[in-house]
Amino acid sequence: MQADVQTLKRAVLVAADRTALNGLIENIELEPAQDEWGSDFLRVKLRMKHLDGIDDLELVNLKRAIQDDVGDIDERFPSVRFSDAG
Amino acid sequence: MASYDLDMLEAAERLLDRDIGQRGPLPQARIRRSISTAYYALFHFVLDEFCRRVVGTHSSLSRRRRILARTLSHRGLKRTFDKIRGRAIDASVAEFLATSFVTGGPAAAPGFARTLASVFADTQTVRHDADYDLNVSFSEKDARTIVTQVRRSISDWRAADKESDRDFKQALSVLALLEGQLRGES
Repeated sequence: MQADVQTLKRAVLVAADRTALNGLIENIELEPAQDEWGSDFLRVKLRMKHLDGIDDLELVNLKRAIQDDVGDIDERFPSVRFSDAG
Repeated sequence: MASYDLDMLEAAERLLDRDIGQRGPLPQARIRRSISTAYYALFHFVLDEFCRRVVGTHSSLSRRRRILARTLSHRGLKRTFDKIRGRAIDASVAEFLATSFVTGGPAAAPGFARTLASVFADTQTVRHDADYDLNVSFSEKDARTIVTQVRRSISDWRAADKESDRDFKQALSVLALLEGQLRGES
């Protein structure tokens, strides 16, 4: 089960909306990738409006929400990373 | 006495320390080393935990545990954790992981185990990029988030001590020795 990139990006935003970081995502880069054993995963890069002052646990919770929601529509594991728009 | 995994997590955190007055982004080398070290903290925690569940915890058994730990692989652990990190346990191992404490077998792994499984998958993937792919850049926040989630997942795992929790841990440990696959699976 695999979804297209736009559907996945929407799922990321919906997941983020449920967290304390709602509205802080400025851009989503999402690319299919393979791990060292050839298994597919999704490399998800979130550019945040800012990262300063965001508690690490809030980012952990955001990752978890994305993993759950993307996992419902795509078998590939979403590996989420963060960057700062500033 | 601090455990090896906690020592490694401290090392991962120290790599992100700033000198007094230091500004600007941290060097990528330190961020990447921190991510890698945090992954290995989790990896060695899992090895120790699974081997204790299977071999026993007595100090006289430490050599046997270490020998067994050398048989567990990164790939085998990934395959094991992949089967329990979703909202439902993979059907191929659901009956094996079911306990007498949960009627009809667990639809999902216990929260502490599911969290650890997700963190393992995440950290392993990021660690591989951090170690080998210089085209992928990481932020300091990526490393701090990895350290935080590893620390929390280990803490949650250790705190889970109901009889049903211990039973699930033991069954999962055996499954890990089988590299996440029961007989007859392709």
